Amino acid sequence: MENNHYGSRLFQRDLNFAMQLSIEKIAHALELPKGKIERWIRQGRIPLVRQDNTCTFDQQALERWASQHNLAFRPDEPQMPKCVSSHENSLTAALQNGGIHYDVAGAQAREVFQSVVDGIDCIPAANKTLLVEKLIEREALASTGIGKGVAIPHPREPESIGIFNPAVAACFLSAPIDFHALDGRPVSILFVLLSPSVQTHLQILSKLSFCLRQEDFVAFLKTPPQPDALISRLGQMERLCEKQNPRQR
Amino acid sequence: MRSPTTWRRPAMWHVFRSDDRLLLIIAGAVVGICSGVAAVVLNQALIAVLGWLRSYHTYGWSVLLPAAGAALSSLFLNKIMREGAGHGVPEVIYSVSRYGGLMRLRSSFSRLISSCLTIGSGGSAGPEAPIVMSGSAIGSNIARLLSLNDRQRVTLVGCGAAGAISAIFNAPISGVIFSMEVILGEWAASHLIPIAIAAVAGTEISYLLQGRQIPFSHQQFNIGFIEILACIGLAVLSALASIILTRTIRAVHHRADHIRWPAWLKAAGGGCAVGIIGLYLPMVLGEGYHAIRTMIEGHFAPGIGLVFIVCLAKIVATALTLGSGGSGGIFAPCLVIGSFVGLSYHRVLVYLWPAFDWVQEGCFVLLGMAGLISAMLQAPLTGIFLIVEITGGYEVILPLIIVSAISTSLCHYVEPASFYLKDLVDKGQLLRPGTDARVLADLEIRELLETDCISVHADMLLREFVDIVKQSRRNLFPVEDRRTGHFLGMIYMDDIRPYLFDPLMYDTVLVGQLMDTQVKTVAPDDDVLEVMERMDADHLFNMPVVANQRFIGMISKSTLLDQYRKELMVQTYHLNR
Repeated sequence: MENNHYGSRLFQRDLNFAMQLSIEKIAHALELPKGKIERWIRQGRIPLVRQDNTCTFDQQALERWASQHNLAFRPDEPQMPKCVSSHENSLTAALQNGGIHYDVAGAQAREVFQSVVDGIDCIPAANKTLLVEKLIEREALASTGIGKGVAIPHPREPESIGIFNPAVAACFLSAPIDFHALDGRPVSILFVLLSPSVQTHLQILSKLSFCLRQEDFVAFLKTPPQPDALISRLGQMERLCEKQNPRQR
Repeated sequence: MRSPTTWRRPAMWHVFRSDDRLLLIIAGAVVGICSGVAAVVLNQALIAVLGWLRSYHTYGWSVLLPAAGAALSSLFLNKIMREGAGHGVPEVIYSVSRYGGLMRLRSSFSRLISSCLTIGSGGSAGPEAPIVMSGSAIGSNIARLLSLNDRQRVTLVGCGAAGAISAIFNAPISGVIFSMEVILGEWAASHLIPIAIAAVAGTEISYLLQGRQIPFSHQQFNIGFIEILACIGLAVLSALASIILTRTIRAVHHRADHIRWPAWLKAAGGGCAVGIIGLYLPMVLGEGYHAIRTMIEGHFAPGIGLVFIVCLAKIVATALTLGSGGSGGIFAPCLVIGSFVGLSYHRVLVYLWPAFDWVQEGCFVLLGMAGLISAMLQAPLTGIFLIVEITGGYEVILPLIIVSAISTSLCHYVEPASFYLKDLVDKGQLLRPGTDARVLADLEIRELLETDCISVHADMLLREFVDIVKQSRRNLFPVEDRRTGHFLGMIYMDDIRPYLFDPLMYDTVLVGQLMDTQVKTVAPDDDVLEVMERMDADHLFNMPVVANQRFIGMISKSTLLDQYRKELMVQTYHLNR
């Protein structure tokens, strides 16, 4: 009974519990269109009293009404689109986590991976052997050598490695090795990608592939660059990438 | 802070605003009193007019009296009040279902005057529907004065109807049940209390002004098992009579629509025909309660053949009066025809089995009335309680239930919608609370708009478009003219997927070449039900909404389902507890 007729009980403006908000804000808090709220007030279906554009209501009563009708009333929370913060998926931050490794030795992929993984600090020691196996398993599936002498090895299930922040290890090999790359050329530069989740992995991979598509960046890598120069260049490229594809933030 | 002009806005008075349930009960009582007064006024006016005109009915030219009355009533309604003719009750139901009970102030007296003219001059119609309409209009306008919302206004409209029926028949329970069963179409506890109060107020005001009279005198009936069995036959007969009455009224109405005469002339023609019938069978004229009274008391002299003819004549006279544009309801004619049906049935039974000790014919008269009211309104409870209350006797309740239930079901089988609702159902305007049609009627296209689509221009290269695809969360893109902003067509991702992965085409293809220009669009004012039907017919899942040639958003079935569910929950929450 008590909720069937809304309106007049809240008319007295001197009530202590009465709260006032504009219709837009209420529509926003209930995640409903404004027109629907206006119609519901007119039809007496919602415990709001309207005066021009302002609504007076008892917050508790409205929250109870909302929960009874499978709605949520959140007056304060800003409705932000769900996304991962850009800092979390920053390529430069990931590169700093993974480190830049020069003169990595090894004649075969397994040896190279072993020495790379040994050099990355953020991986739990117990998982290092597992990671090497995972990287080799992924290579057996299809080569990650994307051509132009660059490869981006990564495990298939990134979450199994047990790391909390994404890491990219840039490795410049002492001697190019055969990686069964797409263009058949030997590989001398590796970017090993490690991520806490598949989603992060895809975002980092997308940014990295944007960078590696630029011919001048690959030429710059071949020099090979100093750590500071590499990080600042990658930072520039990342900003350019985010500007072009805002959704990758 | 109180404004100094509060006295001019009773809606703001503190005493009314302390509790809305109390407010509704007080308002309900006021509405009940007002519709009770309306009922008494019309009743007394009818008595006065009939008494005044009775002396003239002996002359031959008196066939013109119903014609003049019907013509005047039609002129009054169409020219002065500017309202369409109608029985009154369908208009109230329509206003409740479509406009939250909003009615015009003039409706509170217009039907009283026009029906007084029609019935007083001899037209075969009832005063109940006009009084119901007056009471409802009074309720609606009191609600508007108090600036109540739709739900509360509907309750007060129901109060008006309940007060009217209660006052006419001195029958408060029938008033409540008629209001809930026929007018509102929902049995919500929140409606019940104000409506019950209004019914009591209406009855009390009628007692006060007209004295404590029961319309039809109470008789003792001893009903046996055989009589109860015999009632089944009566139920079938009364269902048949109600179907004939419904069809005849509609047929006359339909025929009258096709005659190219002014409305008042048509009404006059109908009235003249009724007058001619009345010349030979004067008991078909007017509301006919006098005939019922004599039948219940068992003093109705004419034999079975004449009763049968009078019954048919009453049906024809009612159809002519109402179908041609006279003003009045079918309630009283139903009761009269029902009593004729009951009487004929009783006399047939007595003729066939004269040896059996049948109950007095008055009992079957009552049962026939109940059967016809129930079948005509398809409201069995209204029929049962009305007869119990207007005769003040409870002994007939068992056969009453049987007759009402069977005749309602039979009639429902042949005519799925009751007489009051048939026009509304045909036009798709009957929107009972909590039904699919009601939810869809309340939803508006504007509430369903999805505005997260990114518009593109027709002269854009595919390369630019691919960049936009990367940013979009949707896989459809409205195309606009860059200069005018007019909507040109849609790009559906599914259609262009192969080209998206062909870099050769990036700089050679324009968006305008890829778009689908044969897109069916929706206007923001379109009816959601109609839009849904179009989507179903074309197997569409999304449709663009275009206003003034500009794209304003998309509607999709997924958003519709989301909003539909929310709306349904809000509309039916109180029904499901």
